[in-house]
Amino acid sequence: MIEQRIIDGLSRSDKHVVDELYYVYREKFLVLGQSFRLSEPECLDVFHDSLIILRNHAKKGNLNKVRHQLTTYFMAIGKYRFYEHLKKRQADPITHLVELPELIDEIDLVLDEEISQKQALILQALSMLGPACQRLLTFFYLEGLSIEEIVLVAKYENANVVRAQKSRCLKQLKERIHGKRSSD
Amino acid sequence: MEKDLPIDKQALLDAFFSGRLNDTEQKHFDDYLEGDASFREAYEFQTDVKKALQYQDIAAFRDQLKSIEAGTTVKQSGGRILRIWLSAAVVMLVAGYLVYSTVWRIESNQDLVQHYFDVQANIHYPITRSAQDPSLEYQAFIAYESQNWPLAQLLLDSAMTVDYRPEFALYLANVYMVEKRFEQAIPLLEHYLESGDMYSDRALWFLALSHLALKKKDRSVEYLNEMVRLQSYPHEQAMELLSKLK
Repeated sequence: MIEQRIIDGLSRSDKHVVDELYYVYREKFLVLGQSFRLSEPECLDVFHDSLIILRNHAKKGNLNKVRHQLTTYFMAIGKYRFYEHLKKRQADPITHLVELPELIDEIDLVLDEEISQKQALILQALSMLGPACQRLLTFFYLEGLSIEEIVLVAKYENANVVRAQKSRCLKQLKERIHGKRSSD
Repeated sequence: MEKDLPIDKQALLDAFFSGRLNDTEQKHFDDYLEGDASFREAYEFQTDVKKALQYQDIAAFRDQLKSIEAGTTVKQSGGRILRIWLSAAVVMLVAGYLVYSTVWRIESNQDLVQHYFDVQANIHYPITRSAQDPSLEYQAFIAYESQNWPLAQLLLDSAMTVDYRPEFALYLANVYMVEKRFEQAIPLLEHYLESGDMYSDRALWFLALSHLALKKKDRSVEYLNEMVRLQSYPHEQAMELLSKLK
């Protein structure tokens, strides 16, 4: 039900698709949030979080299985995020009575943006790796491509070459982290 | 120096991270995670790599969204000077229009809709302020009576999904009419008209006004004629509007 061009564009953070979604839904989120007497910056925060969640679903391939219209699905995410925001603020109880659409049960709405100290070190060390390693690890751990898919996408000779290269990249990453730790 | 993980165990981790573990592999995976320290260490390290990359990716996307928002703000402020000129032009046009309409007493469709449209009073759900009813429809009608239109829209919309009753369509259509979203009001009104609810003929009047607002005068006249024929409320206003449209 959701256009493939939207799913693909959102997964890639394609400028045209992200701009389009932004301009179509920005006002709807402001109107919805302001009806709960939230300020514009608060509404925009919820809007941005909801777009990030929608993009996570696009990346995981969940949007391909959605039977609802994009607006229904996206606004359901938005309503849930507003609900969570209001709960945190312990706002007027009337707003808590907003029933969430049934499809909310089917959607993973968690937005985990916490990062541990170890992960922060990994992030620093990743930036010190060569571009080939960064690309390969991104394909595998972020884009969720299998070893065989990486062979095709990145034009490696075969799967064993990808495995060996990935193993070397992880080893380099560990060395960088240990080097960073001992130099700190 | 720590040893490399055997190939079969690394293959299991690869299958896990690309979401392709079958049931048998999942069992092996769980067993290793439970009882094999080097496997668990490799799993935890690669999970951290994945989370770090996700964090970076989300941060980059958040920056992209902030820059779109900044562009929206720039566009808004950039248009300020133009708006001053436009405002001046609009003032002149409005002044001209007022003189024109006063002298010639011509009423546009929008004027007529604005003149005749009174939002439907809540006749289905009496609200007593002392009552503590947490139900969705009760809260929807509190919002409706308080003229909190966006909240009323949201709650009525949800109420229709959770426990549909035809009268919800009438009130939701009225909310849309207040917000001048006549295209969205019409299908709800048609639905309510067909429902056979005690007040369903009231939809005729709102349909006539909605079609008029959308410049579909012929459709509007059809509904008004039907009201006159059925003596539907408010048929006197319907007759008056008909005479203005002819």
